[in-house]
Amino acid sequence: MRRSLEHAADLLHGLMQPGEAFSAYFEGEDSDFARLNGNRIRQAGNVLQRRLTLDLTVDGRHAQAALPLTGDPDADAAQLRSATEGLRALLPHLPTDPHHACAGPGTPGEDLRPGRLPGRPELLEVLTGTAEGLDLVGHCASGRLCRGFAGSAGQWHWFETESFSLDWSLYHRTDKAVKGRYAGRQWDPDALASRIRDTRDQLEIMARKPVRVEPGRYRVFLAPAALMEILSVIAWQGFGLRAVRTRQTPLLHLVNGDVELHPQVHLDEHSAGGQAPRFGPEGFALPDRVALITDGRHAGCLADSRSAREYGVPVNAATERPRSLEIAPGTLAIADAARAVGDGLLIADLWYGNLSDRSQCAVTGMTRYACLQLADGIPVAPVDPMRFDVSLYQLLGPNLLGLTRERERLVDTGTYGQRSTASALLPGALVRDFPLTL
Amino acid sequence: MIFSTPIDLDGLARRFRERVPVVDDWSLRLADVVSETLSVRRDVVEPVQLARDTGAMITVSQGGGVGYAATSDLSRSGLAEATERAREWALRAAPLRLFPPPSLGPPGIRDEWQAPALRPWTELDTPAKLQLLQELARRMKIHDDIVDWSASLGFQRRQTLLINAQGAEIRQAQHILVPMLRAVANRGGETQVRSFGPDLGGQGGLERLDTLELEAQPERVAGDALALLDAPECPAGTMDVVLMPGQMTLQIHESIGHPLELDRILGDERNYAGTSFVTPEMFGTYRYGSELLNVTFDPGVAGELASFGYDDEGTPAERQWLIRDGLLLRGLGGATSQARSGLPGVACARASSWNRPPIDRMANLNLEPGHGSLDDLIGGIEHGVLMDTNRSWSIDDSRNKFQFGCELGWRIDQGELRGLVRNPGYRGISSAFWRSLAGVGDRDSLSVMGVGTCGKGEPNQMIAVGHASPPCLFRNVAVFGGSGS
Repeated sequence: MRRSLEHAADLLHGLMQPGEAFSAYFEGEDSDFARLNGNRIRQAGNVLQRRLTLDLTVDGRHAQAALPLTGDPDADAAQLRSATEGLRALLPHLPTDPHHACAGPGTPGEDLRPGRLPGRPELLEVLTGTAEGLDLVGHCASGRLCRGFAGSAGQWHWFETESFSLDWSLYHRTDKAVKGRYAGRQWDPDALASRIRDTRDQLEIMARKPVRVEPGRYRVFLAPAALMEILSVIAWQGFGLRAVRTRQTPLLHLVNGDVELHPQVHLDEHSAGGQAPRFGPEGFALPDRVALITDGRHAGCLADSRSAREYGVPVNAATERPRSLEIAPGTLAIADAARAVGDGLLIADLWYGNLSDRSQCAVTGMTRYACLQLADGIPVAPVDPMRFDVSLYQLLGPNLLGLTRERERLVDTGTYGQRSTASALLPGALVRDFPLTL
Repeated sequence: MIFSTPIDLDGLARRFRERVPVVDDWSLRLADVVSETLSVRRDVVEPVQLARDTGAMITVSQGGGVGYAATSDLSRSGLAEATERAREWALRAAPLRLFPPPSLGPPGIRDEWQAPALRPWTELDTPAKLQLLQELARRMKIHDDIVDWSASLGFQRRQTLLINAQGAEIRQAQHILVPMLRAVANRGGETQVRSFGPDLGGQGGLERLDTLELEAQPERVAGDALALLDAPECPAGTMDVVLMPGQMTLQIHESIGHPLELDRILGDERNYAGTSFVTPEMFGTYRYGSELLNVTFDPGVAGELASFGYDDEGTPAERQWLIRDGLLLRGLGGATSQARSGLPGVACARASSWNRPPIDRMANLNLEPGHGSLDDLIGGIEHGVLMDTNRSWSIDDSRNKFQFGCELGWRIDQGELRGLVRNPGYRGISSAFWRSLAGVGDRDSLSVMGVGTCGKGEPNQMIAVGHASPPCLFRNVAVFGGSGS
């Protein structure tokens, strides 16, 4: 992979004419995927892909051409020459771009994160063997991910990681299931087996007769994954500088200072603690941490290179959506969470969130997987899927009763186009008056 | 235009055949997608984005298992190595397979299918297209309260070649154009967005811009956004609603399309996109909606977003009734899912790209027109709301409990539109909602639209699907405005 970018950069250096500058952003992966249903393989295979986005700049004019790389230097060279010539012919017809920014020369960045990946047979044997007799539905991804950046001023960044993620559901019947996840860089078959056994144990309560709760407001404990579903909706436009300056952020009232969240809420983009590369497509190195909400108040925005240029601030993000979101822990012991709820609900996962009212920062979505009714802190029955519709201003404002001191690293198992490198580190949340609507 | 020369997919197929794998069965799907994205935001031309995406998906059946390998390395060695990876996966999968290997495509079909594009994308050069977008964008800045405005055009030329061990050779080509106008209005703490576009993508060339009357839209789009700032909240309560095609698209998609996917019914999607409230015994017997509900799978509608001649397993595509006079007849499942389930399906095994295997997808899923005009539908309402253009969607994993929001609405009283309302939304349960269908617009009121971002599958796949619908009237719906319930 790395050689693909090195060859491309060498070639592009040679192709540049006076006054021209290039930047090249590389994305590559060599990943195995296996999809399971009924604890058997539905589809399995491998994806090998390398892709380069070339940006050519002359006199403030620039344009981009993205193309696949084969790994064969001769074939790739022909494609890159053609793309460079095409962009060169186009640029005189374009206006200058006042918002274009590219990182200047700096210390070359190397971020190598080798891992110990499972072998194909081992991964499937452990997964299906431990779940033998169970209705496991899920997906495994494992392999190497690479991102790179090279520029005509000698800029260089390389990120390479070996990682895996397993994401599964154990079904009791119809919509009664428990979710399990295991992801990382150091494969441990015993850890996977242990997690599958944990989810299997949780299935026992899902076998009980489900209850249908009435729409209303409930005292609930949101596990980290449930909290993440709500935050992921807000994060779509909530924290980006462009969305803030154009008043599209659902957090507008927080930004304006009209509302405050609970003072225990501290929310950061913590690139240094995440799993994503610490540079973006324009080569800017990212700061360790960007405070977004501090003491319940708006503290900052994520600015990618275009927004930073447009609004005159430093670049602090690869994109204006968090990739390494982190919420500071609270003081509630997770072991005490159910008891702290008393009579109410324990919600392990939420699903299909979307903004229902932007001005109120309200999110609607559904309960899914283990949503349990609690009586005096004891789980008594699974709850049929219910719709919620909640304002973040209430949820993490006056209705927040506590955050757990333990946090969970939630790895984004998304694979649209390619495997995601995003993750989040979140506590669980004890809240009151959580609204269920249908 | 960069990348204007098509990749020689036949040459790549010959390269693959030089070392055709000695396996039980195989197929090769080659794709070459060239795209161009032009956009102007706040009167600044955004970076012109040109892209080519070319690759191969090799599927191998060996020893009772099936494996795939996708690669962007199209050299002889790259294809051979990918074939070996697919073969290895097939052998690994065999002892743990969910079902016996299906045939990897039809025998012997040799055909070509191409969607018409009357005015090629290259008929206007890039500067001319940017000039058009600059003018459209400029016309949206009609007031200081318009705080963000943008105009864009997205174009794709997709070429695929599917060959298999049984001698099939299926070539297909599509040209897709997606226009977009978007205006954001803000005053104080209130922000409203109005758009024209992403659901109007379709196949064809630049003639689509005339068909859509794109040049007539900027002031209307910005004017709507401004007007929404001053509009009252949508009233709340149980009332009748008219959903315009810009919302029907999402309603059909989420609460008919997804529940009818056979792979969901078979359980494949239970870990991600979800399951379905539809069960196998419902086909042929279940009353999905009122007798006014007629839904077809129709991959042959000229210009619709997901028209094609063959699906990605090579099954010939043809129009089928899924729901007729309210009765559920057929599901959305390709040949593999039909064989697994024993249920009737359609040619809808599709892959988002060369790097993903085919799964059951919607294609063109259309609600057939009825007999009333839009005025007739509105005239039949004593108290209700008309809603247009989806902006928020959420539905449970069995595709039953939904909640949708729209960009704008109009209050209806005594059979007449009485004024704009903002933040309209409604919620319901699929199985009951479609039975409340009380009016379907006629053919003149039908719009052909689509969704470019339907997500599903593991690994994830995002794909474009077409939806055509007239406006429809539903009785006794739970409606709400801003602040939710």
